[in-house]
Amino acid sequence: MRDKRRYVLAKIEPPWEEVDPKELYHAIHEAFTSLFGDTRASEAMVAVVDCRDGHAIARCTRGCETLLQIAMLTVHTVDGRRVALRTRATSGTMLALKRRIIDYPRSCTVQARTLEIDGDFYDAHQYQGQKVDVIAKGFKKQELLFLTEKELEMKNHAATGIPDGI
Amino acid sequence: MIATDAAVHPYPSGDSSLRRMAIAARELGFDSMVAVGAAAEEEIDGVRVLRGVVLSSGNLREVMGQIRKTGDGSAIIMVNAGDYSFNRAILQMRGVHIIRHIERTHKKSFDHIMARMAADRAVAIDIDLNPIIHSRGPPRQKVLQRYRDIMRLHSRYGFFVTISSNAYSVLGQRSVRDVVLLCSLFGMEEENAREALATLGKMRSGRRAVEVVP
Repeated sequence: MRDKRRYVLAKIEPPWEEVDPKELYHAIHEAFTSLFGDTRASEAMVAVVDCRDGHAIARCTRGCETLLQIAMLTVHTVDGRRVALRTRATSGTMLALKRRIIDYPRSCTVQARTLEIDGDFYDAHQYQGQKVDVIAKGFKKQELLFLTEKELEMKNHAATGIPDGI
Repeated sequence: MIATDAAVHPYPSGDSSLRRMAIAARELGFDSMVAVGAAAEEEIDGVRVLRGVVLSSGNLREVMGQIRKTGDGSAIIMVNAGDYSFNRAILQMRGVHIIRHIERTHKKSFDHIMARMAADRAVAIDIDLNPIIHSRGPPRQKVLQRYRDIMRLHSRYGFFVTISSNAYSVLGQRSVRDVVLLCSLFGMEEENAREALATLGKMRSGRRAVEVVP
């Protein structure tokens, strides 16, 4: 007999990060097993059924949705990339959650652009009006900075390219 | 202040600007947050940003000196816990608002005597969500166990408890609902979690429970 399922919708932050559903599944499954053990993980039957537009839908058996949400909260990296999963809704059907995904992207359309700070060029992603994520590429690794439009508009820049007063 | 994140670390300690963290806090359901290293108390996009000072020195004299320097009353002073005698001395000190990182210390460094002292002196004990999110295996089990012990003492002696994301990035911040869910891992009920989020507001308003003295 087929078990009743529950679907959990989560927003992926930063929204411009392209997350592979398989890697996301591994991250969620690892978080779930680490928190609740193999026994509960086998009962929950966690799966990632959809991952697009900065959102992911994970599936579990009915009664395990709270555990799945907690496990998703403890996911901080997927395939070595820093992300945060913000759980938004739980439903018994995927369709209800997919409708929500359609509504959300209008408010968080990501615009990729190049910024010039002190003569250096940086990749930046702007979304939700004032949020700007700046990718500063260093010699050894790339650094991610979470700023706002207001801060970038400030004229004075420190030597590192970070506006003063943030 | 209904929901306060008791510690966030904006740029330069972290990778997110203070404004960005305040916006994230508002979106996540907080109305105030304590920013460690912030220059002054201010309101950003509807979020009250309180100035937080973390004193991490294990030396009592140094801590006393730092409290004297920063203790103008406007900052939230947080002291990292140490051994039993250090914690006991901290609890007797004026100007300390929060003792944090109890989970990193020995099990006996915070007992029922100190729980009673914390309740009498209105010093809060901080629950840091960062190790619950970021650590795995035995270290996290130890943290959950310590928090369970703290909650047991809290239910008996009624000292203040604060909850902090201790986030160095907007990615580390969690919503009020998420905090409630994470706190359920160590047996903290929703009512207690929401009460703990409102603790700093209570402490700042200076309203204390009415005590009947026989």
